[in-house]
Amino acid sequence: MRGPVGTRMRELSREDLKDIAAGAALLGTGGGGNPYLGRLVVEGVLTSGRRIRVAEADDLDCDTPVAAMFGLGAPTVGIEKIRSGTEALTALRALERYVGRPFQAIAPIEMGGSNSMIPLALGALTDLPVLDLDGMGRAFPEVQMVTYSVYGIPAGPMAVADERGNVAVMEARDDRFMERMARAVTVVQGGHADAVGYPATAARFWAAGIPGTLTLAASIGRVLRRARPVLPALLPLVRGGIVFEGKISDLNRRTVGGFTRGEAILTGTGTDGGQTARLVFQNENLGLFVGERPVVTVPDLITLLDYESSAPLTTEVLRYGFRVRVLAMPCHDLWRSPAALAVAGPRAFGYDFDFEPWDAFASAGRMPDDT
Amino acid sequence: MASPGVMWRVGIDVGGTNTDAVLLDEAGALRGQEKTPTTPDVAGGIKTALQTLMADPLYQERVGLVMLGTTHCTNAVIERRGLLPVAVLRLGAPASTAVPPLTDWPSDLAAALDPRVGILAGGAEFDGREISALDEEGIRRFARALEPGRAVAVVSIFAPVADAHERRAEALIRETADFPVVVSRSAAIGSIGLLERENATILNAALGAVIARAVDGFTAAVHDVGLKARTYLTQNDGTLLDLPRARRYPIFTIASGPTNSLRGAAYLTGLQDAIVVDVGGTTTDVGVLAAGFPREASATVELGGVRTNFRMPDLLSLGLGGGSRIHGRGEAVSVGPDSVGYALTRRARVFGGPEWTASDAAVACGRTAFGEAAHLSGWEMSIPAAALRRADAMMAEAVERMRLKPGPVAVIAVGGGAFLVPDNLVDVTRVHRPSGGEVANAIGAAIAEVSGEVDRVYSLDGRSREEVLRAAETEALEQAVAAGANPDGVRIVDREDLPLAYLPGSATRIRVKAVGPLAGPGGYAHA
Repeated sequence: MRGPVGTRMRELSREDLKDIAAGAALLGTGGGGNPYLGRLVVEGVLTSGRRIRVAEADDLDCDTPVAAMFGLGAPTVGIEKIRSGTEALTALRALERYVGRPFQAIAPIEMGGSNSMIPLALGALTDLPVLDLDGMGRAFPEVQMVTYSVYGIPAGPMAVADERGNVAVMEARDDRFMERMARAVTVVQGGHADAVGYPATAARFWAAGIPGTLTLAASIGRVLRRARPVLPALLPLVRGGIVFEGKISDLNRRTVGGFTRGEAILTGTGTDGGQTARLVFQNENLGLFVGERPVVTVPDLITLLDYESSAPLTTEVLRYGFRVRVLAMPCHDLWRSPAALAVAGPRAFGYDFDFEPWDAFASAGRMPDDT
Repeated sequence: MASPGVMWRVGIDVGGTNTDAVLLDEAGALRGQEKTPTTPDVAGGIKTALQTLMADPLYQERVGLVMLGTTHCTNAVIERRGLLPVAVLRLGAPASTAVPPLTDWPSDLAAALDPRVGILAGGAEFDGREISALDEEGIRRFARALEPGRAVAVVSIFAPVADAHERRAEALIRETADFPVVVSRSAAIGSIGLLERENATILNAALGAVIARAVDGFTAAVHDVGLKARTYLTQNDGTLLDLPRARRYPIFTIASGPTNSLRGAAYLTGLQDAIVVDVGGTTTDVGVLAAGFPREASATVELGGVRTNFRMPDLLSLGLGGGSRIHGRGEAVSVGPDSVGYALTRRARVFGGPEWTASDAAVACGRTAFGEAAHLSGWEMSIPAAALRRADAMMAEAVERMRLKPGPVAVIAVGGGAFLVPDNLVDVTRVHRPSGGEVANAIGAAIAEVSGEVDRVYSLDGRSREEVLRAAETEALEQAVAAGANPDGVRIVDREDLPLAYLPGSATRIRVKAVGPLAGPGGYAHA
């Protein structure tokens, strides 16, 4: 990304888009879906001579009206019924009619998969700036698992639109119910839809969102693309550490209630020789245990890296025999409050263990010997 | 004179460097094998190999089946040669218009197709509902703009669930154009994943002329040698395409070579589950046999720079082969990835050439014997020893990475450079080195069977998962029999069901594959 020029907000290049997609794959902690199609949609919008501007906190007035944009639905539908590119615009205009005024900036909600890309397309289409933040700092499977909800920006009113111009604007008593209604509408609309919601001022977004994540994703992508070896450049950038190194010696993956749940057993290699680690996941990686001891737990970030290339691996591609390193990264402090952990801590995912905060200095995180 | 119903079969594998051919008798025993350089016209090499195999005039009458595996189509895509101009018709507007056909293709490959593109209303939702009504008038306009010689690819959203719009579009195009039009429909070619299935369909359309030349050349070579045999091409899942079907689905012949090697290795050893290491002159392909068939890649497969999602064997390729050059000295000795390739018998030291290769190291260390060991005298022994250690470590790592589960596994070493596979691999029961392994690819072609496959999203709606699975299995078995399989030998070899995340529990993607030996003369089961 270019630095700010005078008072002008900086613009994203095509190279930045590739880097953000690659960085979001790492922050996606094994889930989040594939950002590839999302990137093609954004690049398609850019060929028509449009631009994507990124806003930092001091680029906008505090009371600038902002809404968050994200895709909803089944990834399998998303790769078959590709967007028309108008869905998000339909939702945005419907919400503007409902609240009675135009929005002046767009906020991403998730830094993983297509949702790291699609808000940029809406920003380009409308020439509205996109805030350099998001509501997860990673990927999560449900709408209420977002810091906007935790810190006082309700999801509603929310508009959900398909490619034909069908749009529903909904209000709900709470964000969990909003999630259920939005999913139902999405199914009627064909299993995949775009949503615009969380209407609030810029000031409230900066208070309730995780700042700097677009820039972070771009920086991670740049490191993955350019740095050799990768890890010495990557670890300081994400304040992360390698907490285990090993080989996948067992893999149990099943689909329960629409989610891919399961666990992988890692047999330690190198300095972890003789030890066994267990990784539990539900679309995203949610906990790493060495023996019975929880080492890293959600909402802290756990990403498996290919041993050779340090490329991030999604839960879908994992296979017996993969040699991996486990990268741990601390989540943003916004996720570590009791209110936030109630929404996105281990117990919120049905696990019977508590959050164990991880950080690079206090734990066994270390640089691998051979990098 | 052969007794009626007892037939021998010939398997041919045309690779970039060599054309391999084998002759199997009615009991499946190897009666002859031949390796000859691939000729630019391909048919010449096939004819030479066939003539050598038919040295005994009695053989000619006994051959009832000739199976060909060929890299024609793979090479045409990679080299962008002989491709037809293509018109792409996508049905699904307004959905999908954000990413038009041929997005993200290498520009030289896209240009080679001189593409015309239309996105019209039509297509289905995941549950089979229409996205919008089919734009029949638009399709007629699209057809009127076609010129003779341009192939057409028709791709409708969720065609693997509901392909009525693709069929209707094909009929409309044929009745509107004033000349014959060849139409490739996506539902017959790929599974869920619009762009990847569309890419495969476009490549299939573009390969129409390449496959026609290959089939014509093959037919002519078989005829010229005087064989009166049924002829087939092999596809990338290790099963057969009859020639009319091969002409319609050339894309399925892509990557049939590595599949044939894996199948040949299974046949030669009788093993159904094993890791197969196929060592050539420049590269080594490591694949996995599961129940006698290649394990398929789960991820997207790139072909000539284009993403596709059709089934390919899961392979790990190493830049290591019999012709790999040796570099450096002492601890810094390395092997490959550069190679003297097909010039091994001229360039390698052991054959009197100027270059040190992996083959020289293997001969120097006594792992195999060919050429003139005297040419290696004066070589400081630490270098070949270190080179072999390096090569062994690469092989061991590759075998490790392809394992499916813990516990001991069998390894089958095939290909001309099989001697590079070390015996002492960790957690390996035994390294099998079958005789005939250097032509495992041609043997794989000779023993290929017939398949039927169903890969579709089903709505469970009041039916149990088991009922739907059974229905899919019946359909796959019927397809295999319709394609020529013996109803008595047909069986299910692969079964997978995958509920769609985030959708109500009713939608499930089911994939079932049935396989059986060819019915009729020469169609024997081998497993």
